[in-house]
Amino acid sequence: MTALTRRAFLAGSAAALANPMLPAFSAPARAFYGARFEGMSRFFASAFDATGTAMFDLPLPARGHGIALDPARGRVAFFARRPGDFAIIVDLAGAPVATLTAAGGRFFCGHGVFSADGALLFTTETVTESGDGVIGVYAAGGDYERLGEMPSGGLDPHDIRLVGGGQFLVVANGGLLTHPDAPGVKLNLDSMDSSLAFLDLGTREVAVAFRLPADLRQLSLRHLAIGTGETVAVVMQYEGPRGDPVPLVALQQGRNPLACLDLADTDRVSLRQYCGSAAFDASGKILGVTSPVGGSALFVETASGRVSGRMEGPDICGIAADGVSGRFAVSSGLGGVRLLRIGNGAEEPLGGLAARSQWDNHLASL
Amino acid sequence: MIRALVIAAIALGVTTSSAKATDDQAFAALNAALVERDVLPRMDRFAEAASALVPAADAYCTAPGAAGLDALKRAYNGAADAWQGVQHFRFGPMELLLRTQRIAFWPDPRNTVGRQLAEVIAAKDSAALTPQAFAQGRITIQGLPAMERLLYDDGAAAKLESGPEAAYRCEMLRAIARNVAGIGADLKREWRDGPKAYARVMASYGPDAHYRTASEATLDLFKSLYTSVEIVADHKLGKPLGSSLTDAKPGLGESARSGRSLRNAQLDLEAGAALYRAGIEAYLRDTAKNPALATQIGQAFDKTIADVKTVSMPLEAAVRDPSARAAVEKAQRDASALKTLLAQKLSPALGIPVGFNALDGD
Repeated sequence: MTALTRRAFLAGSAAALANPMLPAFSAPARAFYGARFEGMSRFFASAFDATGTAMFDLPLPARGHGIALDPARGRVAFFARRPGDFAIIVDLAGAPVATLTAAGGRFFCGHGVFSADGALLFTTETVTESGDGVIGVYAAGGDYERLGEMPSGGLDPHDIRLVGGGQFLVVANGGLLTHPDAPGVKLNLDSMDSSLAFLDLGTREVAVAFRLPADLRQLSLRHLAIGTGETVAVVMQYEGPRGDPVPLVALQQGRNPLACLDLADTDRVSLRQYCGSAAFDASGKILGVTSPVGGSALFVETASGRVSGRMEGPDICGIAADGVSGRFAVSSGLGGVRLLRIGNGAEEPLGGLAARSQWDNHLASL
Repeated sequence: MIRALVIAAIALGVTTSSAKATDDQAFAALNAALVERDVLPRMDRFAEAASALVPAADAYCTAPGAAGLDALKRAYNGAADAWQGVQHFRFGPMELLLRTQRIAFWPDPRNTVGRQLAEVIAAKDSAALTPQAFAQGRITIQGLPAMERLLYDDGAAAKLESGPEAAYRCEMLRAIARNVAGIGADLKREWRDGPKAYARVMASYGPDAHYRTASEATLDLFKSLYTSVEIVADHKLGKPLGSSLTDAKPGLGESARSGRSLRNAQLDLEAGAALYRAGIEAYLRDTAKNPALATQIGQAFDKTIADVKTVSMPLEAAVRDPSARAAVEKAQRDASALKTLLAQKLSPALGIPVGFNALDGD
């Protein structure tokens, strides 16, 4: 990292704090987006409304994973699960806009994000042979041509978001060495190096990267949520033994390093060393964290660290804000989506497609 | 030990009366049966087979020759067989200290074992072979895949018996033998011995225990069952097969050098079937009252194992052979169907629903 890019990062962060890019949600979400599967043989990119009724349901060539939204221009991207070789971009009615195929010698890692002006789509990717992480850059304003790539700052870039008024990408480098010939297998558990990297879109370099202490190197930083004041919430998966008392959620704000959330033992254990997804509510103050392994979700007021809600359900993983503060939609790999209101703990199952489908790891909302 | 655990499990169950406790009692009895009939004897066998590597490596390296090499290869195959019998139990003692990867770093799509082994041999650093340094060094070269290369690579015997690398290669064999034997002994001890024996941990669930409920321990055993099939369907057969005859990737077989790839797949499935029949099948039939599914899963195991046995040549050749390939494809398809059956039907029938988000991770 050069001094210049670090200054730019810090300046950008300060500007962002003054002018937080918060989603302007004020009403219940109109639409939820997620990937689903039937019997692990058929796969779909789907959208449903606030009642759970299907808005679109498009077949995918293989299992989907993450979602990127571009509300201003009415586009949504679905990314293949890693190691993936496709992404599809559709409009909000599900009409096809573009299909991406992984560039030669690279695979998609399951997540991406549009630039603030909608001109670019960034995708997390891995160089197959070396395992190095890169961010692919696609011309989202036009023909979705691949314009190039930049280093992600580590192995296994996974979730990615836009911060700093659109000037920076924040990337969770999971730190795992993988290969498409051994899907799901972690090949470097003895030498993991996970990081949270901020990439300056001006210089296309890593402006700054944050890491956990060395004794926590088997924690993989994987999923992100951006809250009020551009609080970056990082939820993690631990590759070490189940009994180790490791933190699973960290927050990063401004120029500060990662600060691990100190959860009570019962809450920490309920996540079973594995956070599957995370989202802030519409206020940007309450973080929802799911664990399909624990069959549990926690809802944390990030300012105080107080756990203000809990949820249980087998294989719950996808989570997205509903438009009303304190409300979340949570989806399950065993089927169904529930709306949860933090505070009174009221839960309401959605119907339609939402109810009768098995949902993959992530959910997004508009 | 066996009886004590069963009695402990039953005693825990009868002290409370809620439906949940009744479930936990049934799960605890199931766990105890699986651990005592299947997990512990298999850990014993692995420890024993691994320990046999040490005298065989010592004897061969003291007096190199064809007879000693054959004896060491027999010991290697014994350890590899026993490893296939426990490789699916990836929780508890096995998840500590990266033991799975240290015993068998596989899959290895980048041939890291081969590359790092060559580096270490070229460096000839004796200090790296002391037991402690070796166990804390590179995980890729500590186990059976590195030993397989030293024993079976082209020209392996000649390189072990003469030339500038011979002494170091033999010392590596001995280091690997000691290391695998040590891990095997540790696994056996940690499963069986003392108040913290993992067999006891699995039986002593409670709010502040490692397992909050007995069903959480059952879940670990279920995942082991699933792993025994998944690793065959997705990796051991699926990856060498590739998508077509022309796309076959024989280099992704697990143990081509020693000709064990197909045998490993068969042993994995047989270990899964044995775990299933050590108590899960009876639980499904008698406690979960689902005899149809109990029979279906047993038949699916038998069919898939029979499929593997019909493959008429080594896996790496079969996937490239127009006539033999179909048998591998059938075995892979049936293994894949069995995997789905376990995830989609068995886990809910047992009352421990496991989803693909939890199973697959990402």
